[in-house]
Amino acid sequence: MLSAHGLALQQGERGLLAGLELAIAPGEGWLILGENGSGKSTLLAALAGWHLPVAGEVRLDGVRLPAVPRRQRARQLAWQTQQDEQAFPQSVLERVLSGRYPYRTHWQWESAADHALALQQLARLDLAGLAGRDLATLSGGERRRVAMATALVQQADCLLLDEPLSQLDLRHQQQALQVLAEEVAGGRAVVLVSHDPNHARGFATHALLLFGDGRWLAGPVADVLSTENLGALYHHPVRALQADGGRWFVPA
Amino acid sequence: MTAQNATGNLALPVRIRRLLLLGLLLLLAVAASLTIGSSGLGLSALQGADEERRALLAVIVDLRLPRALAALAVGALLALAGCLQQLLLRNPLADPYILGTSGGASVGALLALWLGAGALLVNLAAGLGALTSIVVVFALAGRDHSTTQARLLLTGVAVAAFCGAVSSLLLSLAPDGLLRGMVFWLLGDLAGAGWQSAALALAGVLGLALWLAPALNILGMGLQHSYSLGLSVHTLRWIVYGLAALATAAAVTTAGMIGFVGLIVPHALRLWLGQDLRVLLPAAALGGGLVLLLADLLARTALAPQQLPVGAVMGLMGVPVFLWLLQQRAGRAC
Repeated sequence: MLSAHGLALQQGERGLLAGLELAIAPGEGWLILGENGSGKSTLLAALAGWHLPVAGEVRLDGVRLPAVPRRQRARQLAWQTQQDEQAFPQSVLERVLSGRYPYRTHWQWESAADHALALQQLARLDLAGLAGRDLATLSGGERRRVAMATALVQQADCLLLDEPLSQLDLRHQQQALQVLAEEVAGGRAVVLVSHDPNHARGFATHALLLFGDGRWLAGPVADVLSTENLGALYHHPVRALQADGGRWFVPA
Repeated sequence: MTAQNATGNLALPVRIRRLLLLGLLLLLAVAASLTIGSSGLGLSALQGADEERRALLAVIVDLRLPRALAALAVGALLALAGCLQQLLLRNPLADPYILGTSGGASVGALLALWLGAGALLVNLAAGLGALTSIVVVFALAGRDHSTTQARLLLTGVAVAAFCGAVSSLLLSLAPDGLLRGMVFWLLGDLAGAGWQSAALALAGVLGLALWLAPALNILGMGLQHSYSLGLSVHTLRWIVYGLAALATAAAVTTAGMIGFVGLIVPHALRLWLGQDLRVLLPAAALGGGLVLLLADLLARTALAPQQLPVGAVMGLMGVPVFLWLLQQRAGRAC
């Protein structure tokens, strides 16, 4: 569905990534890991078509991303960034409803079906009670969940999510991972940037490690997520604990 | 104020009702401005002699009506420009004059006044000056694709400062005989203002902005979010800049520098109606026209028969209201 071919990324003068080959298929959950500044967000922006690569290209269903009509791209690809700006007063529901924009004909008010879908996605992330609140009154973690609900309302085939779990408390992290697992099981592709390798347990089928110096490693979770690879990635030894029939990675 | 539905947004019918209320107030203000004036002719003149009646009709049709129409169009243009500028700069307190459009118009108008040009030429020069500043800002910041748009803001502010310096220079070098006219132009005045070109600009700007309103709503939520939802963000941003600059240029060309309408009206209406531009844009046009019409009514009746520059009256009324609004919002980052 979404693929990268010989992708090279730069941020300013700094080379972040070179020769990335990636093929993301429906029903796959990808976890992107890397140190601060290793290019995770830049890669996500490039996969969304916002950040232009210095070499290589991103394709959506085989078509070069810039050549895909914008509206069609918006129906296939949802991109949630780390920052959410809030310049004007706006309610949670208004923000989440914006996800329906790619489906509305011009100058159409939001339909009852749009409202129902928005409220349904808010409920999945435990936000049903906040629909009427002004975004400015929410906490950081609540705002991250609103952004994720907006991406879900967009109903795109592929979700690109930049650290959606970073400010969430324990319960809401597990809840969000559960939602993502449902989306993956339903045939969506989910690409998630995170700092916790254990987030893979919730939803991921694949993982991509970015070493920040151009090197990368991609493949099925079982192959890529190992104590050696993670130790090399974070420049810190990592141990694996066995519990609940799986591995948990902790700093050694 | 708190007629909210279960989802917390003002229900659409409530917002539409408030829009209609604004329209009604506007009609009342038009009626008042047509019947009240400094000529000493009251409505009773309509029952009077033929001659008296004709004199009153002449005052209404030839003086008050064009002036009221000019006030409506200019006020609406400034409020729309403010709305669009605030959206463009993602700052609810931006002003239509912030990016130098009006500065360019001032320089053009002052130059024309200095050269002894007539009213028509002065307006033309103001329009040319505004256009020049628009082109300069676009040329210097046109490729600013950053998410903060800092370059656009800084370029506009620098151009505005430069125009301000040139205006000061022109004023200080101008012969005394011309100074009064130049200062009055800068203060903003609706006397003898032609309303036709402003009305035409208003129809164009309001029409296009309303047509784009659903997309502009998304644009207000951030560039990257808009991009993800399929908007052509950079093109759209320059359309917004173009519309705001055009509206400002048309307003300033018609009536000189009238401040605060473009800042206060969108801000106050946003508190009352919400940020949905499908409602806020027409409301700003109505509200801007209403506020400027009332300010003009005050300007020409408060010290009658002396007429005050409406720009000064607007500032006198506007600044306290603006400061009050700021106090109301002190608890919130705005």
